[in-house]
Amino acid sequence: MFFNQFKTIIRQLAARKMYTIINVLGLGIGITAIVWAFQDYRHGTSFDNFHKDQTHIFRVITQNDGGDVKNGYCPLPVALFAKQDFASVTQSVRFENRYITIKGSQEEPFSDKITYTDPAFFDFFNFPLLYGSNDLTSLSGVVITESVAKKYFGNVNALGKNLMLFAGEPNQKLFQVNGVLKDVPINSSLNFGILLNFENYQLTDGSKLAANDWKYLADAVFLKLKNEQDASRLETDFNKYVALQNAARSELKISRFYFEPISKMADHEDDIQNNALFQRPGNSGIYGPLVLAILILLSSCLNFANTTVAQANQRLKEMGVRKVMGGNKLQLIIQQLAGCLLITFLAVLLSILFNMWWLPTFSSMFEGIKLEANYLHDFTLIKFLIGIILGVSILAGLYPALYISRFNASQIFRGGLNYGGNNLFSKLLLGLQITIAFITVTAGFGFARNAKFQQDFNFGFNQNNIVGVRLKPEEFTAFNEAVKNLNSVESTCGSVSQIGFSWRDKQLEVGDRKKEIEFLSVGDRYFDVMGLALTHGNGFQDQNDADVNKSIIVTEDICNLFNWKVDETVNKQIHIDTMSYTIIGTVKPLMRNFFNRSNPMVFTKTTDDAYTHLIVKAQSNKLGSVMDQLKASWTGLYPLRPFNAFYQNELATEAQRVNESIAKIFLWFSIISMLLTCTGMFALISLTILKKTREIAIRKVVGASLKDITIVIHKSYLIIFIIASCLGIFAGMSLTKLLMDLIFRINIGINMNTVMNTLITICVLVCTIAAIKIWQVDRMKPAAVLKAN
Amino acid sequence: MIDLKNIFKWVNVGGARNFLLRDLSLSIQEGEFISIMGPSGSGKTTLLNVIGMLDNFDEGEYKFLHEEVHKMKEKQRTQLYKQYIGFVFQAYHLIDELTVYENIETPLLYQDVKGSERKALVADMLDRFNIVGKKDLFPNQLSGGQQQLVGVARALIAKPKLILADEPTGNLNSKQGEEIMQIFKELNQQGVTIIQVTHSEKNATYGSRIVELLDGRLNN
Repeated sequence: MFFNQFKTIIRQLAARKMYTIINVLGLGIGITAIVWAFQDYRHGTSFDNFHKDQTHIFRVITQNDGGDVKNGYCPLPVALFAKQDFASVTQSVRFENRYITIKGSQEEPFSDKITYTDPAFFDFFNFPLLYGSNDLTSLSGVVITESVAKKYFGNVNALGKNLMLFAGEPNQKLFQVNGVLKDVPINSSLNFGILLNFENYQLTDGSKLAANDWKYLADAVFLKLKNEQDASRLETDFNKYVALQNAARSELKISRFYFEPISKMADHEDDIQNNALFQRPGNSGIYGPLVLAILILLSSCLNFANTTVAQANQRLKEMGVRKVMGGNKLQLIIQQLAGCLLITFLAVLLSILFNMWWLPTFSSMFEGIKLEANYLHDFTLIKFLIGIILGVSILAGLYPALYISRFNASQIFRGGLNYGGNNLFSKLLLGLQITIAFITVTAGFGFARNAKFQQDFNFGFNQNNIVGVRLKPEEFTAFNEAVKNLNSVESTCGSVSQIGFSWRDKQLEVGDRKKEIEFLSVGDRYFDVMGLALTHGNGFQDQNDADVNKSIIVTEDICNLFNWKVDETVNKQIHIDTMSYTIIGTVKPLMRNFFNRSNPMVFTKTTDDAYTHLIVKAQSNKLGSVMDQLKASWTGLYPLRPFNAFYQNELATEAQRVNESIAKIFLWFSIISMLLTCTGMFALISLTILKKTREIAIRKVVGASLKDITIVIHKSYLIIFIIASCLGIFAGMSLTKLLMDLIFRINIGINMNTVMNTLITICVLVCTIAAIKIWQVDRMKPAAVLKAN
Repeated sequence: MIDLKNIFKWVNVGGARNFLLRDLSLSIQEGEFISIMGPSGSGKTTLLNVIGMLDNFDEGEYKFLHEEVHKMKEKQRTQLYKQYIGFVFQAYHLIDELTVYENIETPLLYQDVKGSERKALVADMLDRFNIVGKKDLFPNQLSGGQQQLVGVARALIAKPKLILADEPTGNLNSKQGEEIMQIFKELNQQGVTIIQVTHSEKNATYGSRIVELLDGRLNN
């Protein structure tokens, strides 16, 4: 029986090659999309889930005094005292990243990240060891990852090899590699390459850090509790540390501590400032692909369902014969569904091929994502695919299967049953498909327009011709002298902070009101070099330290916070930390990137012996050559120190890259969605014509014009199109705007041009299909049709 | 074998009943060869479908092999006709995607006949109708007469007691028609009861009795 039905199915699919190809291809694309979105979702929601003792481990975070801002950092002594003061805290681990110069077996030193932590680190977290030991008790040993081992020692076994760490010249120290770990999984909040004992932590002057000194903050502190229920009580008990911390750091007061379970740590990282841990993709990055993939899969399913319904009519005779031969209803339903299952299975195979290309392509578009699909060993994925096969088959095949199997044989053989394509169900499916096409095409045009907007966006300062070089204060003068007269360099200045790259979060106080601001210390000519134009008041005095610790320049968005008039802001007094400042000038609000809206900025003048950045303004189109010249000058001056520089437009470029990638994804998917809709429409209109052949022929004979025939064929589709386009435009505008807002705080939104472009594109396609079908009908010879009937 | 009493079948058209069969009573004994005749719309095919249990009737009683069909559920009716009845259609109604062999084999699949037995039965049937050479061909590769031979072979494969044939020669030329009627005659002589619907006086003469219908009633 099975083979008989299977043969029938295979031969039917082979006989209708075009439908089969369209369906397998369409569903293949839909399943490719849903597997991609599923893997992306799993990646985004699986952060830190590989640690064995998750429920008992908590990260301690702090809340700013006078605000509701949570910070990832935690006072260092918390790790020490928590164990002593509270019996329910069994262990603690500090985690502190730092960039320093490192030299391995190669001549060239690298500026690289090292992580100071406690030996209990591996009691808390699961990072598998490849070889050697993960014991961190030795003060002269390090544990590194396989990538770091390859970077510094090539393909040889790194065990026992030496790494020279320059914590602060001349404080270099030789470390021996004690163990090599597997690379840190991409879904880990803790991201590191080189681990060493926290006792090695040195201050810039080479002195050791005191573990009980409340002045110092760690990037993260983790505690292991006996009972997870103790966490909320400990949050309150930890209030005893608040006063100690605030006494030591009056400029960085905290109001309380929070315990964040590590299983949920990644979910809340968006809400935490000063978070040194690796952040998972935002919700938009997790749910955006999911929505898009569901729409594409739904569209391909609708296409599949419509063509299945369309073909059901042709299978009526077979159903009738099988009934007469003794086939029961259930057998016939199963046979119908088996055809759908086979097509879906073929589509899954095709999707595996597609995803061999798409998953790496997508991963290359976004930093910190590496999506893979292991179809042989990933049982969750296998179960998901089985679910997709069953779900899609039932969605597409169940209705036609139930419908046509209910007729009795005499009804079928008598003729006149005309099921398929022209019923309400098919029209609803087509309408939904058109709606989806409108949504995806609107999103495609919307994100393309946003990419253009972001490309031309004015951040309020020089973006495109600025290079920053990170250096030590004592290196500044010599390096500045070496580069300021280079051919392509227009001007230079020194600074401690740099917009978008280096600043301090502080609270600005006016009366009893406090607001979060970004605090930047800048040097002479900084405003000129960065292209910051004063809107009111004066700039800092060059070659003069009179403004240091006295005067500040603020961005105008501060005025909104305190309800000041912009032109009355100059000369107002404000407090930051314990210092009092006078506002001497204002500039327009500045943007750091598109992802987040920046806090208002405050610029203060710093002395030239504190500069940690050299800011270089290059001549137009000479940015690349300036970077090369700077590197060459640096290597000439400091051959053993790594050159650490950045382009100012890196942040915007990253945002633009993200936006262009999103626009590209939506463009591809909108094309796919349109093609699916077109094939769906083509199939349905073809079927309508097939069913109305006799009517059309008679109308032609009695004198109907082409216009009349067009109305007969397309009237019902026109109504569907109008309703679906209204729904699609509305849904497309809303969803696109929602997605844009989720990804970019600064975006252009959707306007009527986007809507019109969408409407015109889809109308042109739909009209083309309609015209092709009408042309075919026009060529039809009524006499031949009537004779055949 | 078949006992129809006061059978009524109607459809409602605009609130009024349009009778397809009206107060029809008919008895058919095992081994008979009946030809149902009558003008178009007289109810011949409807009567055949009612006898074949492919269609329900609205009033009356129907006994098949002493079983009260009108009191049966659909599942029991299916079981009954699967066991005892074979159908032959004017338009052959072969499954286009199956070969000659597979088409003939299909009823056996629905009766859960074992593979080896199926093979033997189909081989016998192919041999009997002299279509062994055509067994791997698809219906669209056969002439009308050959398709109808396959249709008859398929109807006979499950060894039915009754063959219902709805204008079996309607789409065939006279020579092919005669061949099919000759086969029916031979089958009848072997004990198979045959009821055929036909417009052809000549084909009707192959039967042992003619039943004439007019407007859903017996006319003789």
